[in-house]
Amino acid sequence: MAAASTSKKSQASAGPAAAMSEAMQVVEELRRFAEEISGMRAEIAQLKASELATERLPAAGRQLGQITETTEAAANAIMEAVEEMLQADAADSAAYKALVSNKAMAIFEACAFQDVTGQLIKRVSETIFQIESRITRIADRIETTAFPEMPLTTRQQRERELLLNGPQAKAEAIAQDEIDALLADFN
Amino acid sequence: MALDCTTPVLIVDDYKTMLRIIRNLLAQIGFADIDEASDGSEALGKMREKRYGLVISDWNMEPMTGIELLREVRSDENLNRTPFIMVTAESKAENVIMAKKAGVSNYIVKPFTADTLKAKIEAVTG
Repeated sequence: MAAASTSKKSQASAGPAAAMSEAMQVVEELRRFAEEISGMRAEIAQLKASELATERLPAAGRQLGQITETTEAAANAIMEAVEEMLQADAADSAAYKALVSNKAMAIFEACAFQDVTGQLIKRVSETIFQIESRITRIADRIETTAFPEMPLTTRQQRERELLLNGPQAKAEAIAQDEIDALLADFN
Repeated sequence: MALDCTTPVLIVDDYKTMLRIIRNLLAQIGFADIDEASDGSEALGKMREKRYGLVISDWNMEPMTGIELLREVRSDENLNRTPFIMVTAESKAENVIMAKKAGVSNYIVKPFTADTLKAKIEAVTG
């Protein structure tokens, strides 16, 4: 009886202390949580999402479009020059030589596209690098497990099913003679 | 082996530049009857109107890709014997295997040379 009375007393005295300790823990958790949120806010502010959306990404899109146009124009200029050389009458050797010389210069001029596209590609690469590094910093703080795996879009699903991988990096691509060997194995 | 350059050829690619390159290469080889299509569905329509002795197709096109065109061609009893060469930047082994399983006659990876194109045409039309 006496022992039971002592136990009840100690529970009664431990109750408020335990509750206080738990409350302190919750407060500490909330404080750390607030710190995390504050840090993430700073990271998100550094993302400069509005600048990315209104300036950098549209600029990168325009630059990629410009690359396509520039390379297409160069390819067409080169092919036009070559077609004219192939169709030229070589009977008049002086005139033929002058034409070939003229068209060769046109080809050299068209090859200047590489300088322009090189610069544009460099700018797009810089934008992608900036986006990647900022997102990586945020992902590191949040923990990647916080992001559930996104379902594939219809386009991604189609690309996966039809193997629409596009041009491969050298390490992943196989050469024509390897392709020939692969086809020969089937035969 | 002598090529029959009188055979009509259909080139399928969504890049005008590539169509022009292949057309010029074919013309240099000696082909004269060359038609063009910018995707698989346009190609299929042309193949159902005219009998081609050879199809040279890209893989990555919209709305109908080269592999879908190949499957359509091989499942059509009027077209299924047409030689079909895939000319593509898709250079993974899995692409080659998928194309072979779908019935491709030969496979050329971009960029390619005129000699490669000629050799593959000879191999499938000979």
